[in-house]
Amino acid sequence: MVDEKQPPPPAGTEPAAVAGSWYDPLLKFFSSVHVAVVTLIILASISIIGTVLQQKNVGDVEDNLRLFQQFFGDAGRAQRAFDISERIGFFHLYQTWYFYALLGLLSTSLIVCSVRRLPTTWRIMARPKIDLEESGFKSSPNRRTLSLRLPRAEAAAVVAAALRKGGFGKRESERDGALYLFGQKGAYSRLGIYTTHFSIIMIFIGGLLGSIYGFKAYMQISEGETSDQIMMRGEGNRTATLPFQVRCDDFQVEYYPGGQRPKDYFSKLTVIDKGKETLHERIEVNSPLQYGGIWFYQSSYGDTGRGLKASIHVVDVKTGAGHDLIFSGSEVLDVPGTGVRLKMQRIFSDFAQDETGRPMSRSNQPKNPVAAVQVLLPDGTSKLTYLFKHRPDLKTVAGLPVDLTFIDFSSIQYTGLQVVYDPGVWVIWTGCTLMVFGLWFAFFSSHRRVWVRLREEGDATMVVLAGNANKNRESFAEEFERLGDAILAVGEARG
Amino acid sequence: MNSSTLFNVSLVFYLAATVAFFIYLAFRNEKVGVGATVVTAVGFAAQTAAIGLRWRESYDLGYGHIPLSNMYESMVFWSWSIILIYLVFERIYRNRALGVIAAPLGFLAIASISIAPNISQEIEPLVPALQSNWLTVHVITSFLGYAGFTISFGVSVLYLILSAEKRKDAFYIVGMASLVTMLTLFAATVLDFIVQKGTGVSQPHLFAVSFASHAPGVKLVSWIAAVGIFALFWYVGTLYHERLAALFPGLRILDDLSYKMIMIGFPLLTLGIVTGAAWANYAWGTYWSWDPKETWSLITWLIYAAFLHARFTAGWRGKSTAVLSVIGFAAVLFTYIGVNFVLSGLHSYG
Repeated sequence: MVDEKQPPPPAGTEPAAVAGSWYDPLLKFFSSVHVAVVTLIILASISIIGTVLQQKNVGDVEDNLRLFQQFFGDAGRAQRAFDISERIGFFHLYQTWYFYALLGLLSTSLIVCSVRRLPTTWRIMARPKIDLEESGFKSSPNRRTLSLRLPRAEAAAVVAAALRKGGFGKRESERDGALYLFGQKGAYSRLGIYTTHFSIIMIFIGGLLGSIYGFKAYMQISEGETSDQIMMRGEGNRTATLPFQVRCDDFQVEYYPGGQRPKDYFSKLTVIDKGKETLHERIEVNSPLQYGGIWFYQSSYGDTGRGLKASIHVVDVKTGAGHDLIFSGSEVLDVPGTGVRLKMQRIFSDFAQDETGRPMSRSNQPKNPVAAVQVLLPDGTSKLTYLFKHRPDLKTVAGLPVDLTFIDFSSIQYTGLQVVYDPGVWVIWTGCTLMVFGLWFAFFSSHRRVWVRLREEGDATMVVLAGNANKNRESFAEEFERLGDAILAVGEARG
Repeated sequence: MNSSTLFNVSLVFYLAATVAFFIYLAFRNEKVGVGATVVTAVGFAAQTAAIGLRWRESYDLGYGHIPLSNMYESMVFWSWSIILIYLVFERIYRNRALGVIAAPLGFLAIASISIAPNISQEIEPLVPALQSNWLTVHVITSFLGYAGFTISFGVSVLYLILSAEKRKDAFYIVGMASLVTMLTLFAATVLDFIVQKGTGVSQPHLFAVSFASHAPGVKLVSWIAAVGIFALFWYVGTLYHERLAALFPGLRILDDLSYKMIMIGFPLLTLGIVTGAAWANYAWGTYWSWDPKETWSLITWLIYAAFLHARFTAGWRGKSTAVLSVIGFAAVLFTYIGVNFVLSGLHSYG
């Protein structure tokens, strides 16, 4: 009942043995499916380590020490485990020599397998046996014998027409008084798997090209400024100079209703090449700029703290008269008709309090802007009040002669750009495209073949059909039936 | 009518379809079979409408994005994909045997995420990195792939259980363990849900009232219960072996179905990884950064690649490939859910 292991697929897919060379055992090793499968499993297993332990340039390696401490519960052993892991490269696993060696093993296996099997596959596709032996007809999974009351030549024409209609390319041959016709289609489906394997090699090559000739860097430009300085990633923050300059004309952030979550942020950039403005473009996340093969991606942003402008709406509590005061930096402004003066102490773009309760800014992104304003009263005393932009109802000091509302503020912002040059990327995309098409042909198309033998018997012609498909055999069985029916119908109509 | 009502409607239909498919297989009654398919299709239509409605609701909220952006939405889409693949498969191969796997899986996916505590069902705005057409392509291909693997897993578990002659058969134990693990996870989620609804207090984390409880007693009882269920299933499984086997299609058919589902899943997962890489390159300038989600998707891909080679070239069949399919699905689950809860990385949003 249990169908555990069937014999390996049809003969002809096994590579022919090359006798007596010194490299024979090597070839045999690399062309073994078991070696390929074991390599895949080892690659999968070893990759897990790099997902559990934080990797350099991605996460914080120090976190691993905490992880080991949790695991061992003992600082000494955790430190030892940490040191050993570091030494054997577990914190940059995907760049270690042994990871590359495994990829090399996989590539070698792919290449050797393909090179050894391709000639046989090619023979099956290009030089099929047309005059199939009797045993071949007998052992075929799909067989049918028809008797047509037609001379052989006419019967052959009927069969040929049916093959053509079914999309089968036709060949013929004659042996021992019998005429043999052969038709096939979808032969290229046998190349799908080679395409897929080749595409993996291409992706590896693309990755190598990128890591050898490409670079990844970061640059920061304040609004209105121009720069050609970039900071290389992963090379001890070495700086480099671009062959052209980039100016940041403007940077803006839009927020979702509620004002906390950024909806969109974009920079208006100008490329200046040899003193000339050659390109103006607005970039945002998911919409980069490309110039001279170098790509600029919107990556981060922040406040420089310079060029601060803040507007405060002031209402005189007694008279109800309102004024808008615009502060530039920490100047002192009079509130007309009240004798009260305001000093802009500081603006916290992302207000929070530290452990001791002192106000601070968590980040330089305007997530929770708060203005600290010193109110200088006519009697010479002063009071410090905090104005929350998103919570105008919140008053930290009661009983002031003026009611203050923090309207808005702006300052010079900077845009953070990821700068990338990767000449291997097109090789990667070509490889990926090939892989998808290769898999499609390998899985969803099939090589379908039909053999026909026509032999005259008296005033009739015996037509023997045989056929097989390398995949999707159920649907081919139906097609084979229809082909036989069509030949019979036309043959009987003429006979 | 809002989208969550419609999701509940589809849930009821999938549950009814599950029952109908079991009756169909038990009595081999064609009419019941057609009924089961119709019920599934109606549930699917309701779910499709619900997804469409949720999409519109996101526009009403001023966000305007396809509902494929967080854990809840992706889980719903997973369920939808499982049913879609089943319905298409049934049309092409005229075989309803898979319904008995697909309908309960479709039900479980959407049911468990609907009752899981601390999973937000709100429509959230998209962070800038997610605002891309690549999101749609990437999520759709990945999840259709996952759905193919899910059905293959269900069929393989069935295969491992039905193909066993003896209780001590290691393959049988693997199959039963997989089945009981899934059932236990679902039961623990239901328990969380009941306690949360009953007390009105939201749980600090998943399985807080069972396996992950702070009380050692509760923890112990949960584990004893899980092992008990396993022992019971393991014992009963072979006792009614003949009757069980008669319920389902033959082993050869199951083996073939499991393989066909992987043949659908693998190219789709490949497309999912490729579109993810293309998107990452467009958003950050890096097509591959060895982030845990990426790496786990690659691990999953490697396991299924091993499956295909074992079957295509090395001629493995039956129990050995069924176990590979189970391992592959464990990797799918970890890639999809485990990474978000256990590891950290770029995909923290779902």
